[in-house]
Amino acid sequence: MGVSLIMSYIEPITLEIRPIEGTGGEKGREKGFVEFLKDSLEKVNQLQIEANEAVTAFSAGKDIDIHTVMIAVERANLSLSVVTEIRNRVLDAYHEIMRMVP
Amino acid sequence: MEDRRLLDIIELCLNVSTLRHRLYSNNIANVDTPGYKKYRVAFEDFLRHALEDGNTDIEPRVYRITETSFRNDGNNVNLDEEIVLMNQNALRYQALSQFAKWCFDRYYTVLGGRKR
Amino acid sequence: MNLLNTMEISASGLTAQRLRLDIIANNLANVETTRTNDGTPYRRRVPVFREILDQFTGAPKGVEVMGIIRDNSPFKMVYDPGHPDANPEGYVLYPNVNPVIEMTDMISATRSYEANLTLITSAKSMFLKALEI
Repeated sequence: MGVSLIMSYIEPITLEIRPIEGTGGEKGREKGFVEFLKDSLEKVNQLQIEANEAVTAFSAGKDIDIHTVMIAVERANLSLSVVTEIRNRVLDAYHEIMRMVP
Repeated sequence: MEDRRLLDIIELCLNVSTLRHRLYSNNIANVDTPGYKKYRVAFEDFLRHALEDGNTDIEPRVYRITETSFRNDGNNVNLDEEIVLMNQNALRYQALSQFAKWCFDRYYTVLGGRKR
Repeated sequence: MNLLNTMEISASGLTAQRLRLDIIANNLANVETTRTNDGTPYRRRVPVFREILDQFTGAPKGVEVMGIIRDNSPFKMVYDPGHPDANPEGYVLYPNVNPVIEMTDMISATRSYEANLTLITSAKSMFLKALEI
């Protein structure tokens, strides 16, 4: 749920960043960053799913170790924090650029 | 060593530590069982070799020590030895847990002191 | 088996040692019982321990008391013709319970019981530490 929220913030932004006229290299770079972000969000989502499964398994009394659950949950939390921070910085950069536009 | 791999190794060691606690529990529960032979786990040697040759597909090996001791009921469990080993193992588990925590804490520091 | 389930193994040890203590207590209580319900002297009882293995995987799962057997060592003979339970030769048969042995067993059982308890306490500490990850 949190992941799609982040996606909704990022997609409009990256679509609006247009390459500067005459410098053909920008397109390739922009695509790379979007791909990287999508990839990261996939992984973040996957980690959330694994964490949920670990917590559910433990709650249901299945034979899963507590340290396994904790590590899975922390991995999910951390990756979410990192992606959120990236989102914030992209947003900040966007706003700063928008301020420059006369 | 990259962080994800470190965390995987720590988790593996935590698994082995949990296994060891189970076997110490069983050894001590059976301290008065005639003919019972104590369980042990081999793992750290495998890990040392794995770190050298890079093959991290390793597993702990559970075995039983079959030599008898001085007892005449065939049981070879030494209560004091088991308690000491158990304590060592418990401390290792707690240390490993702390290491895992540090792996995550490092990133949170970079994220600007954000609350976990 | 995770740390929580492992406590069940220690619990089986506690149960077994507790039963052993009960049997010792019963032996001691009957150390002078020259006549039981069937007319014979009290015979010492002893628990028989056996390790539990998972029926599918053969993995260790603790200990159980598979039965309580009678000690077949001979009764003690005390010359006391005036005793109501004296035999024709004047001897009374006393239970084959030796208080010194029972006390030694009791100390051993208590020590084993406490060791199992230590395992549970330890598992608890380990678990709580992992929660801090």
